[in-house]
Amino acid sequence: MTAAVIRRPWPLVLAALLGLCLAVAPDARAAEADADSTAASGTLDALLAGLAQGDSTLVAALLADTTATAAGDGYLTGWTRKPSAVSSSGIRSTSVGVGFDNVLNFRDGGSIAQSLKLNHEDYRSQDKIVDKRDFTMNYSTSSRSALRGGLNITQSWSEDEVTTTSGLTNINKRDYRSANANVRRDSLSTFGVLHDFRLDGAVDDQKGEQQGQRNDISAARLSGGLSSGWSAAEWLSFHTGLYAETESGERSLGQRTDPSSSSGDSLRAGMYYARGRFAGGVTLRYSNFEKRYLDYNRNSNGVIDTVNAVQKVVEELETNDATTLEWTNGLNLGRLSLRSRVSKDFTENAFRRSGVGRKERSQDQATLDVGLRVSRRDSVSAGYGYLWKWDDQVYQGAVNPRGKQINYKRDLNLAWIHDLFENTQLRVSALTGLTQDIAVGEFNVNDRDRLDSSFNVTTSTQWPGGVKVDMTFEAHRVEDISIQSERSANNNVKDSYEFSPGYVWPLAPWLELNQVFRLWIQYTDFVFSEYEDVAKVDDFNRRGNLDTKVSFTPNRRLRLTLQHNSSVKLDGSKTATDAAGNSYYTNDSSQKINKINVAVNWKVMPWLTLEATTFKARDLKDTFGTSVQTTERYSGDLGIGGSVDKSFGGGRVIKASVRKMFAHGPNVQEAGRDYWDADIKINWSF
Amino acid sequence: MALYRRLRLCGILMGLGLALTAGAGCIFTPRDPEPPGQSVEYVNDSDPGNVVYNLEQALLNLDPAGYQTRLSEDFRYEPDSGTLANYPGVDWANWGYEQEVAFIQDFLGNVDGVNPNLNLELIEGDDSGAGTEAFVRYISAVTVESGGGEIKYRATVTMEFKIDGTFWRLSRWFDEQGETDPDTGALLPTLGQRRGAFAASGGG
Repeated sequence: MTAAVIRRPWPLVLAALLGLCLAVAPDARAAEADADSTAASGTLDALLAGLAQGDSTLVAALLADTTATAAGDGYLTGWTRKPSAVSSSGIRSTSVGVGFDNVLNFRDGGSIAQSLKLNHEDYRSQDKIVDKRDFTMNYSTSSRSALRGGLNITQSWSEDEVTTTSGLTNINKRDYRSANANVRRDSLSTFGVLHDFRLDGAVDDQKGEQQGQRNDISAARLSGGLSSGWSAAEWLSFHTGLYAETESGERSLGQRTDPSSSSGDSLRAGMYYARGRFAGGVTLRYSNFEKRYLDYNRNSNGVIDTVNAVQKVVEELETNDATTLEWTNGLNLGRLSLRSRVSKDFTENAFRRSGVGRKERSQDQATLDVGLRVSRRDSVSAGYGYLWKWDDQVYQGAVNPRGKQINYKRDLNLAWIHDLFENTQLRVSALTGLTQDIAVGEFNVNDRDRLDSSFNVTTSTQWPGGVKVDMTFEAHRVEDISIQSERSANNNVKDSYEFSPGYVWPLAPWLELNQVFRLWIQYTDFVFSEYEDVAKVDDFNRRGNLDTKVSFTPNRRLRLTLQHNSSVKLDGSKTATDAAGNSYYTNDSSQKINKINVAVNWKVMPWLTLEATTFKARDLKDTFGTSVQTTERYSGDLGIGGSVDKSFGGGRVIKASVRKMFAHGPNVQEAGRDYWDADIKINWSF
Repeated sequence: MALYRRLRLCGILMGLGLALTAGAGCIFTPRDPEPPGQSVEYVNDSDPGNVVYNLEQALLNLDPAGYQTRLSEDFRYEPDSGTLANYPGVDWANWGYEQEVAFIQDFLGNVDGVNPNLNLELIEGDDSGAGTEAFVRYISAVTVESGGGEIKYRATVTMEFKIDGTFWRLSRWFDEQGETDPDTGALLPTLGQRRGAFAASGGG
């Protein structure tokens, strides 16, 4: 495809959008028959022409004129204006912003929506200022028309200035403008086949600067899609989808400016059935694209690498082809149900200049799930998953592939759910899955297997009074096995056991008690720890947690929450194994963390809420070695504030929250010790 | 009785599941790993920069096989004028792949350690992997530990690389000249001196 260079596309595009708008506005053609519409569509034409000329004064004047029309019962049926102001202050930054939204509704159902937002953000902990201006305008024709259309105009401007501690200032600027028009026709019937059609045209223009490097884009884009459906029988239907897109323009990167272009298309075809006990479908998808663009020099992993490259910016040509075939099927046989899914994907991605060269990816996937309702109180299920995927790569300039990197997974899960007695359910499940990374060829240090197995028993009870009790036991084993000698020293097996009972007990309508206990232990066994050169020691980690939460809600306006979290951590290493195979461990460290949280929320008035939160934590850690080292750390914070959410007549809304924070502790930075957190937002719709 | 039948059915199904799991055990068995051994981790030779890194890894870990892998089959070595003068009897014109492999096996087998920095400073060239052939000029520094002492080598080196079907390989090593030691100001020899001594003693 020859790239057409578009240097100043705005007048051309706006004229095209204007033409399209007139073409799709059905009432515009009926102007002769409706005097009000004549005046309104004339105003709309002038408005768009004003936009095309970039004359904001004219646009403002026309909008004012349109408002005057709205006072009567003409083409314009409604105009909503919504100015807003936002102010925010937090630990990270402070910001102020204003916005102004307009929505004009027309008698034929069409509308114009405009939005303008300005924002200024100043960072506290670094010398950084970010300014943003965003403007959008959207016109859409009536949703009641068979043929619908719309246009969108967007401008997004931002400037981000950062001064580093060494005094270096980096400025990132971006001024992005975009115009987009679309036409859509749904449910068009020809010979029993239903079609949906969509056509989009857009122009993008970006002037950017990033760390002193220009990053400009100027491009026009056209895309179209057609999807069709045909019901061959009540239980059988066919669907197709065709989509194509082309883009042309130019891109500047650094000191270089070159044409850029892309084109792509995709095709989807599917057959779907639902008859008797069977339901499913077969889908085939094919897509491809070709892109020409300026890019930085990249290495074989696709990472920008310009350090020793003579040509740091290159003219890239990227092509991509992808095919997917998928079959899903469901079968219901009374109490027995089977669901299956089989799919195959293949993708080829090639670059003319990038070190990546050409990459191929393939993925075969299958899942089978079986469920059986054995009785009113029992059900069992089993599932099997299979995944075989690989990628291969021919480095830039090479003729032979480097060798496949294969990822092979399969897993099996079984579950039994049994109603033990009233309101109490037992669930027993087992899962085992093996994941293998297999490298074919010279670079196989990544060869590794991971076997993940678990067994879980859970009982859950929910009594009518709201009391909930859960109890879980889980045994879990993970084997991490590197196959090649270079990395097998780290091979290990982790066995962990967890026991976690918990309950929620609403003692009274105004009082709820919630307690969760968790006991967890993990043993790590390094497979080759007995080797002389392997500096790995088997170890264990034990964890115990007890979380208690009491919630008081004496009335609808006051809520008080007390929470205590207690945590114990014990870590140890294996010291010896006797002739009988018994292992002996020594404690390496012991840590106890206690934390108390208190939170009060008081709704003084329907629009005013006062809040206070505080926590206090103690972290005591003993590290055992030749001598015991003890560290004791305290931390906490206090936050006091309130929020206002008040609506006035005439669509005025004010939302504000103010909070003063005090914090202390080893992980609290200077900026976080004492600060205000405030947000104010004012909206007015009229 | 109904309860007994249900429990029996559940038992059968769970037993079937466990049997399925056990039967499928073979497809859930990890492969047998190799015992821990050589711990040199090379990166793929997808560009000349990676080849230089791998050559350094091979020298650092005294792994002649790793060094040999990175050589092109038509590799050639060219010495600097100092080495030519010191070892005039060596057939430098035909110093190719076999001679280099023999030298590196002998060299790495008879030293206590090597501390290489082949791309200490880039003078010119492109080692990013653009194209199918590349040349670079580096200041290279290599320190050899042997017999309880250290010997320093420093040189301006031209290296040429090309893609050998699949991966990048070193096809030419040209020691242009020895460089001065920045610490002492003394002129240091190139690694060609090692090659010359090896060839003069009957190796290669």
